[in-house]
Amino acid sequence: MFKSLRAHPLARPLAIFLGCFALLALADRGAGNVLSSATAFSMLETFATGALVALGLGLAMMIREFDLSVAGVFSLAGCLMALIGPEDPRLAFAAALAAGVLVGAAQGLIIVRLRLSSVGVTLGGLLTCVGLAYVLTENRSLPYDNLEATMAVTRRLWGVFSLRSLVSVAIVALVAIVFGATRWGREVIAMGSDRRAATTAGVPVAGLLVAIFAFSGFCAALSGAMLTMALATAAASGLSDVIPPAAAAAILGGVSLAGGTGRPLGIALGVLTLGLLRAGLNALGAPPFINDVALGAILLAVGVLDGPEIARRLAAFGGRG
Amino acid sequence: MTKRVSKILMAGVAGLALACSAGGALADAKGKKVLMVQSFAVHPYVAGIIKSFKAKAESLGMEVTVQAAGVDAALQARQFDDGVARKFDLIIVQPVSEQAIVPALARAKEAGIPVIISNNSPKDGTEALYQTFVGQDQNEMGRVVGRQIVKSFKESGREGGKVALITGALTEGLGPRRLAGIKEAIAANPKIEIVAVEDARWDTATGERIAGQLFARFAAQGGLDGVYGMADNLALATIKAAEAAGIPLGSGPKQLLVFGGNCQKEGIDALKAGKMVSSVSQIPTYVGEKLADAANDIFSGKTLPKETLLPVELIDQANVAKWEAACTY
Repeated sequence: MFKSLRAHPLARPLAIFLGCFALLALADRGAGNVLSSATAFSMLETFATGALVALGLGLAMMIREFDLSVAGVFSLAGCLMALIGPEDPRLAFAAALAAGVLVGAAQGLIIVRLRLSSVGVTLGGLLTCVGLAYVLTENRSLPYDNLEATMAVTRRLWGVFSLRSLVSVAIVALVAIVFGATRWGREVIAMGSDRRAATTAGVPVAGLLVAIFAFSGFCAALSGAMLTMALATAAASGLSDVIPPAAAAAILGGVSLAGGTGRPLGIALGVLTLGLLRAGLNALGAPPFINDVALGAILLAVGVLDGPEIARRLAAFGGRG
Repeated sequence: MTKRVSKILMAGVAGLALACSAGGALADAKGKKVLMVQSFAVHPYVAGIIKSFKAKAESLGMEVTVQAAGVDAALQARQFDDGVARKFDLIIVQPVSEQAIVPALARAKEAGIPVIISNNSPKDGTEALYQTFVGQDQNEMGRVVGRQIVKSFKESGREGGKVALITGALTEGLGPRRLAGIKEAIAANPKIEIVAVEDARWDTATGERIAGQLFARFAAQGGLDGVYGMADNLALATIKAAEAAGIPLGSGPKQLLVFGGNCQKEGIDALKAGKMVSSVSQIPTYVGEKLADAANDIFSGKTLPKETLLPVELIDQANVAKWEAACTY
């Protein structure tokens, strides 16, 4: 029973999340700083910024690829939002999302057709998108002058949510359902585990790869566009550093760089863990560098536990028990 | 005799009132929770602001919490909003982005939490959202250097010439403000031409690379007459690149004139060695202490002016000794 629970793909991300929560609650000593709606809201706002990027990047990692372009698409989409302006938010959103999907799909096609490494191709995509954003904005921050819209997307709903975080939660939930209930989930895992075997088994590898990169572009663009609305500004240099936390969240969520592991809900738990750490440590008044130290320690622990030798020993220990 | 007694009494009453008001201010600030939301906590300049602010604010009885976001505008807004949600008595913010912090400022105002903007100028038109800005007039920081460039060109026997500007981030904030100031002041001599404005984003290595490229680019046209590094680290990067290219430095007719921005120890050393013409005062301890004073004034119920500006002074060979200690942090 325990063994099957431990083997569940969500067991580790959930254990890390609950472990962090327990440690923070312990450090709070019942003062009510961590166990508060303010902490939950803050955690979910971090989720709103990072979850979609992490989801796209995590899916790419699941098929043993990597999408560096998410940071560029994130910036470019924000700049398009501000350039088209708050007068026509629907057109601005459509343009931003279309740009994200196009960039993602184009990269996917290049990787598939030319049999190139995703790291090289998406590095090119990243630099192209950032360069384009600099040209479009003429190296200036652009205001998104609609404070009402800004307040609307960031206003607290039911104590802990905002419109932005609800959209992110909804998309993650939808992807989790599709992943769990259709063959696509199994195909992604199969493709990441052994691409040749997956091809032989009839998995549409090329189509799936293009679709995942297009979806990753969509996610990064949506996240960037929503952040521009939330902060009422856009900049080619980007408003947030998205790749390191997204990769960290995916790894915490059980995704391996070697591919073939992980679940969308695991990635979501990884992002929530990052948000919880940030919000909880802020609530405790911890010095700024403590967050990086704590996150680094957790990632190191996860990395070590992922090592084949440790896994073998743990399995042997479990077998004896 | 009666007059003397009444004088003594009046002096006593005045003294008591003064003591009460000082005590009152201390009592007002005592136990107040202040959140300082910073950019780079490890940058020597920012660390200097934090250290001096904490020392003075804590001596006045305030409880200080510091958060830092690096260049992540979204994270800074999050840290600020957390402070609003946790009902700090006052928030001090050094905006990573003057635009991205505006919605958070609006939320603080809605929640009735006073805000002080530190060092990085706030966005024009947002005056209603904060109590005061403590820092320097960044346009003036540019104008001071611009005037010095005009003067130094003349003193070195040049009627005009070519000057290149290696700047900090021009996206928004300090960079564009200093640039506008320098352009305005240089316009006083139309024979001085700004031949290049290059964005090095405050980075020393980028500045050195840009300077090397500029020297190569203008070598065929008789070389550059002057280079402005928007901060002293960029001026130092220019000096290194000039030395590598074998370009003589100084303040004479055939020498490259290098002008710094905000003073740093290395800049002062270069100034003393005659490799740099001038720098400009920008002292973190002054900013930190003024921030604590401003916070104390707010807790005492005083209404502050929208700008609490610190002096902007040119540092050259004549007054370098006066600034050496303050610029060493």
